[in-house]
Amino acid sequence: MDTTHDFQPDFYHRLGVDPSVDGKTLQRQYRLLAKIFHPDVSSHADAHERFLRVRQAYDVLSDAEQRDRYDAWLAENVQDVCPLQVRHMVGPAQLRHNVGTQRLYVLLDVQASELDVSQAAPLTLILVLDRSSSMRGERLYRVRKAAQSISERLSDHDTFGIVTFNDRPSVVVSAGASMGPARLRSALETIQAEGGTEVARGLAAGLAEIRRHRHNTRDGVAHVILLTDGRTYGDEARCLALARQAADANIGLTLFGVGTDWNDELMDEMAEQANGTVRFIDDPTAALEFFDEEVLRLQRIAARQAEVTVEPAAGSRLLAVREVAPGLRTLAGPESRQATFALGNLPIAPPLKLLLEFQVTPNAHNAMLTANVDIRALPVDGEQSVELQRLIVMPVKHVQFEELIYPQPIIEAARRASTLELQSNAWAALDRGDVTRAIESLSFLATRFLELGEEQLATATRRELSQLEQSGSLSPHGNKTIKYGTRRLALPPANEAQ
Amino acid sequence: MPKNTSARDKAGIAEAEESVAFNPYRCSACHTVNLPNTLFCDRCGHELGTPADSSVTTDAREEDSGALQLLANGQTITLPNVAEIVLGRGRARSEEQHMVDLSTIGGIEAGVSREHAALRQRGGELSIEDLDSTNGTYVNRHRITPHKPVRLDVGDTIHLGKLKVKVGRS
Repeated sequence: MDTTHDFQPDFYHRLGVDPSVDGKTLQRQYRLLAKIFHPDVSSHADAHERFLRVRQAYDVLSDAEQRDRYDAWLAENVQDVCPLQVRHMVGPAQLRHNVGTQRLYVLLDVQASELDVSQAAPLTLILVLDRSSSMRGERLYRVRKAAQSISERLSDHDTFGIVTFNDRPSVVVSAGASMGPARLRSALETIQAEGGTEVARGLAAGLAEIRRHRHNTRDGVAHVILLTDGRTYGDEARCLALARQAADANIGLTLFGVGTDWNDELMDEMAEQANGTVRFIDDPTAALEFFDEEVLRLQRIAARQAEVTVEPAAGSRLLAVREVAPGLRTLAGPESRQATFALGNLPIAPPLKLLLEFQVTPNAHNAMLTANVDIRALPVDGEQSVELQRLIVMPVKHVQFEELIYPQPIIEAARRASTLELQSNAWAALDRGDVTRAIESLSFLATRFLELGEEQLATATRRELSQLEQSGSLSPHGNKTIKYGTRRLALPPANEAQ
Repeated sequence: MPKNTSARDKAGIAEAEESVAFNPYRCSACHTVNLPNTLFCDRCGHELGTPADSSVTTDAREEDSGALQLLANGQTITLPNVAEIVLGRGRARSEEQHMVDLSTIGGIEAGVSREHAALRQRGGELSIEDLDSTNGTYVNRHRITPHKPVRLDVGDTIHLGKLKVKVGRS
């Protein structure tokens, strides 16, 4: 009997287990879920439907022969039907009776199935480069070199363009005008550093270049890297509006700030609107590395427009959602009213890792559904969106403090999340004018940096502490160093198989 | 919340995590009380359940043959250089017995027995034996069988009942 037409790509996900799960664990998980979703017992709105889906999956996976066939089917079709895998680990391993409301850490791992890099989606990349007078000398020199280097990285099916701006924009290399290295070099040489800084004009011109050379928003990956070293005046609102436009048109945005004078608050806001990132290039000689790293990342995108939805179940409350790899950033805090969070592009490697923190009050039962997590994304070589569900089901037992088990990756993820939280608390305190609180948070932060082995960040933090005590504010350089330095403390890729 | 009386009997003393005197979620660095299961203090980021004195690092240099030390609840106890030390509460039973009284650092609340465990040093080798304590002895989170000595290394973490003790060298 050929049942392959009944196979669905998410049987393992429906049961909230990994494909390597052993029969006993599988059975235990099924029983937990059956108890939770059984229509006679459950108060969930779609309990019946859920129960049927779980049963359908279990019927196949619990039978050795059918499971083998399913695994084979999955392996053959994974590219087409299930190019993403979602796994999770929890800490502690069980929820506890008799301690009341407690915390639960969940580390989600979103991995793209193997994707041949030569099949990577075509990239339309526009550089928007500041050529104001402050860029004169070393800065412009390094940026020219970086532009040259990345043009060599791009392939034949990629599109490259360069827009410069000061008070007004100019198109130096039109997107789609494929230039050889020699012509590109001459074009770059014509760039002179002079004039003021109007970021909005540069960004608008960059976005226009992309629109001109793109047939529809679903073709490949479109991205703007904007670099500036100064403050833009009077067009902040326009910058934010343009960032939103980019997001709506599925154009990615990366913002590079060189030196100390650029407006980090504005850039952070723009990045938030566009679901992009900001990078601090302290030393212009590092510009090439930053550009190279970014282009490499853009050439390894497995899926776009990724989103995660977290639905806490009864008795659970979401405290935080943070990306901990490959970057470190907070997507939601306890006051967040949202349930769905934009994740941007999913890389082929390293996997995206999210740390969720819940506040849970277990009931008297032995198991509890804590949350339902949904991940959606659009694979680059596919037409259709992929959606994967992951149930977080926890056993509840009587566990003593010394018996608590936390997987090492959860401890390390929580450590970094805690450090990021300290840094944003310090900055928030300063925004409120609470210098005392900021000093306190910063001194904690310095210790945490030391524990993480980040001596330079610890030194910078201590320096800013005395700065704060004297003047009540941070130095512009210290502010950028610590803020962007903390965001680089993502979880290092795991070496061992999980 | 239903009370689990058999577990209480097993524990012997109050087993609620939020007992006033000893709460593993009270940060030893800033004294903030955190939610149970929290790994890092919400206020200061200190790793909960570890001593506030971070000058003891885990990369212990084995060449140091200084005195053995125990670290618990932010306090360091240097051990006498004798073959056998009893870890427990109260005073030694006899002249010959060397006792380390843990009641001053939370031993009572943590459920440390009068004679909880014996720490032995012989030719540079350390071992620990549970003396049939009420709440058990754990080495790196594994409970050890009473009266079966287990090898101990500098840097190991022992739990006597709920009391977390780290073994170091000065």
